[in-house]
Parts: sequence; C-alpha cells; structure tokens
Amino acid sequence: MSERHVMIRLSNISKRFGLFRAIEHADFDIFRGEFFSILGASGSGKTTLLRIMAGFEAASEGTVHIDGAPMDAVPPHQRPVNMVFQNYAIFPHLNVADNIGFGLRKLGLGRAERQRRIDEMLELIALPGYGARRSDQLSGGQRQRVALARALILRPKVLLLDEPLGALDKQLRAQMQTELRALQRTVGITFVLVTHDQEEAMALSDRVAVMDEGRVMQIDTPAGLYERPGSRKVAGFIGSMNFLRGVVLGRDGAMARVQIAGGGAVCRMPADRLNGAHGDLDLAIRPEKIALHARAPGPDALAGVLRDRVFLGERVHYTVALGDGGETVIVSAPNTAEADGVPQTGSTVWLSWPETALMPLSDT
Amino acid sequence: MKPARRHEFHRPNRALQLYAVFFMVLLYGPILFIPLFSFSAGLYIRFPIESFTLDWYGRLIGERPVLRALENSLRVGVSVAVVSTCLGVFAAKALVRYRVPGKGPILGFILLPLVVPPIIFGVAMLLMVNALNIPLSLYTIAAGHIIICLPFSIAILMPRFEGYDAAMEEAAADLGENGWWVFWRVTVPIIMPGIVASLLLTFTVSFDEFVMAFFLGGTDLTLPLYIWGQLRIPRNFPVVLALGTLILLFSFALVFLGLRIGRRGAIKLVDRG
Repeated sequence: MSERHVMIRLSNISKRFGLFRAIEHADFDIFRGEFFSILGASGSGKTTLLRIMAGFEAASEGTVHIDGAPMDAVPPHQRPVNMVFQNYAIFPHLNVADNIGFGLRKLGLGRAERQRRIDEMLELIALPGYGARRSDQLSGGQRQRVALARALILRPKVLLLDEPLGALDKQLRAQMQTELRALQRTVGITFVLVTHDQEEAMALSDRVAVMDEGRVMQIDTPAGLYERPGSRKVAGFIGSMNFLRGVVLGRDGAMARVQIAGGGAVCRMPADRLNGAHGDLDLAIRPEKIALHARAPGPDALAGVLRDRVFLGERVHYTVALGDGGETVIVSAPNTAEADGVPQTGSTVWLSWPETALMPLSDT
Repeated sequence: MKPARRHEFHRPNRALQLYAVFFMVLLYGPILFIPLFSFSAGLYIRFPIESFTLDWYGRLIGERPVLRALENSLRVGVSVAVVSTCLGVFAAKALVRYRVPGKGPILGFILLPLVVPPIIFGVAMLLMVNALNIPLSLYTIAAGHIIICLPFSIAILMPRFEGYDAAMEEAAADLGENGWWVFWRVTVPIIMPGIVASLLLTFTVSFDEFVMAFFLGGTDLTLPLYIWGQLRIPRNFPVVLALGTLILLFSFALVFLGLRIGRRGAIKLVDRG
C-alpha cells in the first residue's frame, strides 16, 4: 500500500450548516485506481463529503486536493471528476445518445468522433443500439448505466457515485454490483462511492471509510473492518455483532486471560489486541464465530440458557441468555450443526469460540 | 329471492348532474349570445332573429381604428407576455431553488395582484405615473399589465421547477458546463412547456384586460378600450359583437393551447419520476 499515488487528499475537512456540524475533521487519502467507499447512515455526512469533492458544497475548513492540485477555487464544471447522481439525473429532454454525449460539447469534437465515443460507451455499458431511445423508455438498471456512461465518457480522474444502486430492487442491485466492480477494473479510474448499505460497500470496495455523525470512524479494507472494528459503532454497523463486558485478569505470554461478565467463564485472547488495556473491557464477538453445545465442551465454555431458536434456512439463529440472565448473545450456526438434535428452548447450553474471535473495543 | 341491491360507491348522482348542466348553461349561455347576434342582420338584440348576415364582419375589416387598436393590443400583449415570462422564470427559479429568506411573504407579495381588485391597482398606478410626470401611453399600459401578469407566470412556472430534480442542473455543471450553458442546455428545455404556457396565458390576460388599460392608457387605444368606446354608438353595436366573437375565439384557443401544453409537459415529468 505504500508509495501509492494519492488521487484525492482531504486535509482536515469540516463542514457546518449554521450550527449543525455536518463533517468534522475528515482527513484521509484516496489512491489512484482504488475503489473507495464511504459508508454511513443517513445524516452521517457521507453525501456532503462527496459533494465537497465534486465542488457542489464548499468546505467550511480544510482543503481538497485532486491529483495534487488544490480545489478550493475550482468550480464543479472545471474539476477533473464526474459524478453519478443518486436518482441518476438523466436529462428528460434528451435521448440516450445525447445524454451520454452531453459533456462532449466543450471538447469540440467532430460529428464522427463524437458518435464514435458515444458508441464506444454504449458498448461498454452493454446497451449498443440504444442511442435513439428516449430516456423515459429506460428501466432503472439501464438509467443507471446511462448515468455511468455519461460520466465516464469524459475520462475523469475520479468517478464519484452517490448511492448509485439505492434506487434499484434487490436482485438488480446484486447484478449491478458485479457489473460496477468489473467496470471499475476495466476503466481503471478511481471510484469513490457513497452508500448506506454495508453489504454493498463490502462487496465493491478496496477500502471503506465508515462515517457517523460527521466523523470518519475508521478506514480499512472490508475484511479489516469486519475482523478488527475499532469501536462499538463500527462493529455494530458492519454485520451483526454481540457486545460483552469483561475483565482482564492477566497474561500468559502472548495470550491474555479475560473473564466474561455474566457467565463468569475465563477466555483467552491474543494479548497484543488489548493495546495494553486492563481492568474492565468492552468486547465484541461475531454471532457466526460462536459454537453452541448441548454439553459442556471444556472448562472455558460459557454456560447459558437457550431463549429462542429461529430457523433461517441455511443458518439457524439462537438467542442465549448468559449465566445470571442479564446479557443475551446471538449465535448464528449453519443448519448442519444441528445433526445431533435440536436443542430445546429453556435448556442449558454452552458457548465456545476460537481464541482469535474475541475483539476488544474502544469506548466510542 | 331478490338479490340485495349492491352499493356502488361511485354511483352517479342524478341531481348533481342536473345541477352541473344548469350551472354550465347559466355560466356560458350568455357568452353564446355574442356570436349568435353577431350574425343577426338587425341592429337590436331581440328574438326572433329575422335574418342572418356576415355584413358586420365585413365592416369590421374595413374599419381602420379597429385595426389600429388590434395592432396596439398585439404589441402590448406580446411585450407583456415576453417580459413577464422572463421575470417569471427568474422569480420561480429563485423561489424554488434557492434558500431565500422570507420566501413565504415574498411569494405572497408577488401573488397579491391576483386578489387585489385591478381598479385599486389602476388608480394607484395612475397616481404614481402622474406624480412622476410620465406621459400615459401604451408603455404605461404594458407596465400595468406586467404587474397583473407576473403572478400568473410565476404560478405556472413554479411547479415546473418543483417538478424536476435540482440534480439535473448539478449534473450538467458536473459534465463541464458553466451557469450560462446549464441554463440554456438543461433548465430552459425542461421548463419549456411552462414557458410556452406562460407566454400564451399572459398574452391572453393582457389582450383582454380593460381596467388597467382604462386608467393607464393615453390616446392610443387597445382593443377592449376601443370596444368600450363603441358601446355608446348603437348603430356600431353589431360590429362590436362581431369583434367580440373573434376575440372570444382567439382567447379561448390560446388559453386552451396553453393549458394543454402545460399539462402535457407536467404529465411527462411525473411519468419520468
């Protein structure tokens, strides 16, 4: 990852609307050729950040550099970026070819060259021969592709995408995710995508920035966010997560001993993950990393009472109340795990997990 | 066994239908007398009509003052339509697209001429024009008409701006066009049905307007002023009826066209989501 060309540099960007702080101190780099996602709930400031990159909003503080050039005084129409808008903003008075070729006017191309470029784009988005179609004759997926082509025809340094798949139904969305990823690899342009859909961000991106209430909480690869969320918010936002309390008892070499509140059992986890933390601790564990047993598998297992069992097809979700009945834990197991009998609700069960499964969280 | 009568929620109500017909006859019946008697050979409005003639229309064509008044009305109407539609585009865009402080009161103020009686406006304008020593002319009539027409124009154009996503303009800017080109390549084509409807309607309003013209007119007469003058001369009355018939047809056609264009565009925009 080192020595990569920085395409977008956000230096300490803040944005206020009146008293409302939309973005606070966003400070990170996006590299050339990267598929970068900004993930956050609505109101997290993710779209505002994208609009600052595009030039539709001015940052209250801080500077955006694109490919090394400061963008403070550069209006949207002169920035080397193009955008795919949330509802695509396909021009209703123009047909598909004129929509795609809209940005070519300023290049002063001849008729033939213009047509060649538009055809090339129609080919790229797999809609050859659609040039004469009226924009209201397109389906949702087709509109999305036309919006992509319209933005890519100018060969921008960065393509900004504002929830580009949000308006599509679920099946189409999955298909367009695959196409979008393939398209990004084909054209090799830096993509910056804003989404509230964590699965979309995970599936598409090289790296993801998680935003919450105007702050960038964490930037990492999808796997990194999933396996090593830095905070409770990120952990809760990406996938589903169980939160536990624990106390650090001590260390044996590379492993730390942690007692889980509620169940009382002592678990082991890699000591280097604790970053020197001691005493009370917030912990997190993914539902699918926990194994459920009808009999105690060993002294480290956590005992609990099975409260509920939900059959979801390929997986089964169990709700288990720990020890004194205070905290509950969700366990997600493949349906094959029930080969030796379905546990009864109300019966005592035991939970175990690999030593690397437990994650410490910071306070925020 | 007789089946129970079904209750139909959308069953037509006979009494209401009769009322509607009666209402329409009462409203539009009198207007139909004008074209009817414009073809009557007699000087006076009375039944039965003895014989029909096209003479009055013939005399109309020969009447030079009528043609002058028509020309004046067209000049005022076209100028008023163009100016108030231009102003209406800017005002509607500003009110819909930008965060204008005091938007509500401003809008109310702009739409005020719709509810203030023209005679009040006419007197007020006349006082001002006199105080400023501006001679009464077609220009002062046009100025008065612009005040009356601007609310119509804004009321027609605001839904057009509300009807499309502001991201259209951002998209055009994003694709490399500055404000001027965004306006001409995206804004104007999208609101074009509204512009045409506004031009037609404001022209019609100006063309038919009497009260403001009466107060603000000088020696140059517009068509309604001319008609007013002719009403005092009984033998010219059938000519006025002929003229009124033509104006009626023309106005009706324009308004119909304007509404049709406006509505067709609106439906299209809604379909496109």
